[in-house]
Amino acid sequence: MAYNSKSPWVIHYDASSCNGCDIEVLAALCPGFDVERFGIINTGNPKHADIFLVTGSVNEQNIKVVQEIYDQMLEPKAVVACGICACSGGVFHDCYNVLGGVDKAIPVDVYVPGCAVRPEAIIDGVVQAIGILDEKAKAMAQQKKGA
Amino acid sequence: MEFSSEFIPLKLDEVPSLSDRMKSEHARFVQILAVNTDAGVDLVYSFMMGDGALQNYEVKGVKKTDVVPSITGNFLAAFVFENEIHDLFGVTIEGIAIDFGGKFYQLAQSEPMTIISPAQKAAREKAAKAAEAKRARAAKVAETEYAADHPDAIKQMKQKVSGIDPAQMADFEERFAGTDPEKLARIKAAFAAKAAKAAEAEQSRKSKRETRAAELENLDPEKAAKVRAALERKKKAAEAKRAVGSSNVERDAEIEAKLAQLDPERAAKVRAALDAKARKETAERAANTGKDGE
Amino acid sequence: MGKATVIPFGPQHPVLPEPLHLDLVVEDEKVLEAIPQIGFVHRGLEKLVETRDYNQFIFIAERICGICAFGHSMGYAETVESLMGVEIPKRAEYLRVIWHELSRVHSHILWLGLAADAFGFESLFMHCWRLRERVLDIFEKTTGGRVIFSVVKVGGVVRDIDAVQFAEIKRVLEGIKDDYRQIMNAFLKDSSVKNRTVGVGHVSHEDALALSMVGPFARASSVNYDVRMLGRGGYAELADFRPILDDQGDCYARCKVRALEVLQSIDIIEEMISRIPEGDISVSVKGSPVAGSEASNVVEQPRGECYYYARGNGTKNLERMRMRTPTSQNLAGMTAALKGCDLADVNNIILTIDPCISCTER
Repeated sequence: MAYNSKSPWVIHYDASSCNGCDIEVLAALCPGFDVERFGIINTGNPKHADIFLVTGSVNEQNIKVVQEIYDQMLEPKAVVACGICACSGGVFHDCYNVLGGVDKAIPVDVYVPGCAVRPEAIIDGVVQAIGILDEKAKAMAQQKKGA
Repeated sequence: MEFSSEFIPLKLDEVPSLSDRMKSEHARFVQILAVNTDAGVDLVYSFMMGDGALQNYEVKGVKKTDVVPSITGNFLAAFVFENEIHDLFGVTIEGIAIDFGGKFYQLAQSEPMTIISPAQKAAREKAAKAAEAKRARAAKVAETEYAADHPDAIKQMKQKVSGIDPAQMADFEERFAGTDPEKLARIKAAFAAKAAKAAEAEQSRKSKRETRAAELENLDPEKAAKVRAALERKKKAAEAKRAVGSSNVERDAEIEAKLAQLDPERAAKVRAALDAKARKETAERAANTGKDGE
Repeated sequence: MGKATVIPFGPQHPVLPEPLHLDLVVEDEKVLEAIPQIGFVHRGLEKLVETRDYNQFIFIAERICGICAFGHSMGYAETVESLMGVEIPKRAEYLRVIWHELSRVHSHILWLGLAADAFGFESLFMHCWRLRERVLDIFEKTTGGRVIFSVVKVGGVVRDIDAVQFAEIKRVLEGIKDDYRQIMNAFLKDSSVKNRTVGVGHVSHEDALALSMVGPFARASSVNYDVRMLGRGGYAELADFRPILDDQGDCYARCKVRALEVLQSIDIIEEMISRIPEGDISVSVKGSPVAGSEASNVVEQPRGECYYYARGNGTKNLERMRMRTPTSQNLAGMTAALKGCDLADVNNIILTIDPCISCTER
C-alpha cells in the first residue's frame, strides 16, 4: 500500500540558482497554484521529506551540500530537477565554476525544463515524481518480502 | 542632487591617502572592482560625494608582485570586494579586516578571471587581424583614389617594385578584371612573390656565374680550356633540347592532320588547349633565358 | 557564564530562499558574532562577456537574480548605452520605469511574505503571495514571462504596452492597493508582530554610514539616499520624489520602510502611465564600443543601489562588465546587526535585510 504518494512532503534547495525557479517553486505552494491541496508540505528537514526539489546549476561549493541533503533523505525518495539550469546548466553551462546540471552530483528522477520554470510544469513534475515514488515503494516492499 | 560620473587616474601608493580623504569628506564608499588586462590588473575604487557625483579612481596595471593596501580600516564594507578580488584575480591585498585567506569563494579554477582560454586568444587575434585588414583596406581605398588621379606614375612604380613583366601584367589584369579586390590583391601578391623568387634565383645564378668566371681565371690555362669545352657541350645540349621543344613544326603538322579528322567542336577545344600550353612554354622560356648561358 | 559554541546556519534552511552560511558564535542563546560565508551561488558569469557579445549578454545579466531580473537588465542596458553614447526614446524610458516599479512592488510583496513566514506568520505569507500573483499576471500579459521578461535591449525596449493594457494595469493596481493596505495594516499594527520586531537587530545611524549600507536597510536608519533622487533615465520625469525614511533602525522600521515603498511605487506607476508620451520604443544600435572607453551607472533596485561598470575593447564583446549589487554592500551591516541578538531572532534579522545572495555572488 503506497502511503508516500498520498501526501508527499518536499524539501527545496537552491543549488546556485538565480532564484527565479525558487520563487516559482514557492509560488506553486501558495494559493495561486496550491499544491497543498494534494497534501504537499514544504519542510526544511531532509529526514521528513520524500521529494527533493533542486533548482540551479550546481557550483563547486554546492556539490557537497546537495549530496549531503540527498544522503540524509530516507528511501524511497525522488529528485525533481526544476529549471533548465538544474537539468543541464542552462545559460551558464560554460561558466568556470558551474558543474552543469544536478545529475552530475546526485541521481535525478524527473527533469522539468524552463527558465524560469512555470508552476504548472512544477506540479506536473511533482505528480510524475509521485508516480516514481510509488514504484520505488513497491520495489522496496517486494525486496523485503523476497528477503 | 545630480548624477555625474568621472574616471580619475590614481597611483597605487596614493590609495591610503585617498581613503583617508574620502573618510574626512564623508563620501560614501560604493565599490572596488578589478579588470584583467595584458599590462596587469586595473583596480577601480568608486566613491559617491554628497552631491551625487560618482568618482571612480583607477589604478592601472597592478602586477602580481605589487601589494595593495586595504581600505577596510576606514570602510569596513570593502572587505567583501577585497576578498573577492584576491580570489578571482590573484591580487595581493594586505590588511583586510575580515580576511578569508583565499577561501572566500571555493572555485573550480584558481584566479579564474585571469585565465584566457585558447579559443578566446584565437578570437582576440582574429579580431586584431580583422582590424589590421580594415586599416589596410582603408589605405588601399586612399591609394586607388590617388591612382585615379595619377594613373601612369602608379603603374610604372608598381611594375618596378613588383617585378612583374608588363605583358604578363596586362594579361593578368584582363583575366582578373572583375574579381573581388581582396582576392585580386592576394593573387597579385602571389604573382609578385613568384616574380621576386625568380628574381632572387636570377641573382643567385648571376653570382654563381661570376664566381665560376673568377675561378676559371685563376685556374691553370690547360685545365681552364677543358672546363670551358665541357661547359660549351652542356650549353649545346640544352639548346638542342629547347630546339626540340620549340621547333616542332613537323609535330604541329601531324597534330593538325589528326585534328582535321576529329569532330569540329572537339577540335576547337583541343586547339585551344594546345595554344594555352604553347603560351605557357613561351612564358617559361622567356623567364629562363639567362639560365644556361654560362 | 557560559561557554562559546559555534552553530552553523545554512546553507539549507527553511527560512532561507538562498544558500548562505553563517557561523554563529553563541553563548547561552545570545549571538556574540556572526561570520558569513558566501560563495554557494558563484557562477562566474562576469567572465561570459568574453563569449557573448554585448547584445547577447543582456540575457545573462537578467538571470543574475530572478527577483531583481528587470533591474539588472535595465541597468546593464543603460550602462552600455552610456558607453556607446546612445540615447533612447522617451517612451522607452517611461516603459522601463513602469516595469521597474512593478518589479519593485512584486519584490517587496514577496519579501513581506517571506519575512512573515520567518517568524511564524504563515497565513500572511500565503495572502501576500496570492496578491503578488496579480502583479505577475500583469507581467505575463505585457511581456510574456512571469519572472524573467527579456523585454529590454540595448537601445530601448522590445515590446510596447498599448492603451488597453494600460487601462487594465490601472484597474488591477487600484484593486491591489486596497487589498495591500489591509495586509500592511494587519502586519504593522499587530501587537504580536511588534513584540517580535521592535528593538531587534538595531543598527544606528552612525553605523549605517560607516558601514556604507544602501537600500531600505539603510533608509530605516535614516540614511537619506535613494538613487531615484538623482534623476537617472525616466526617473527624471517624476514630479516629486522623496525617499521613505525611518529613524528607529530596527527590524520593525525596515519592515515599515519597505511596506510604504510599495504604495509609493504604485503612485509612481500611475503617474508614469498618465504622462507617457507617444513615440518609438527603441533605436537601432550599430557598431561596437570604442576600445578603452568606460562607463559607470547606478540603479535603485528593490534592495538598494546597484553599480554597473562597462569597458569596451573595440570589438562586439565587452572587455569587462561588472555589477556590484546591494547585498554585497550590506554584508558588513548584516554582521553588525546580528551582534548581540537572540539565537531565535537570527531568521528574522536576516530576512529583514532582504538578502539576495545570487546577486551578491553572480
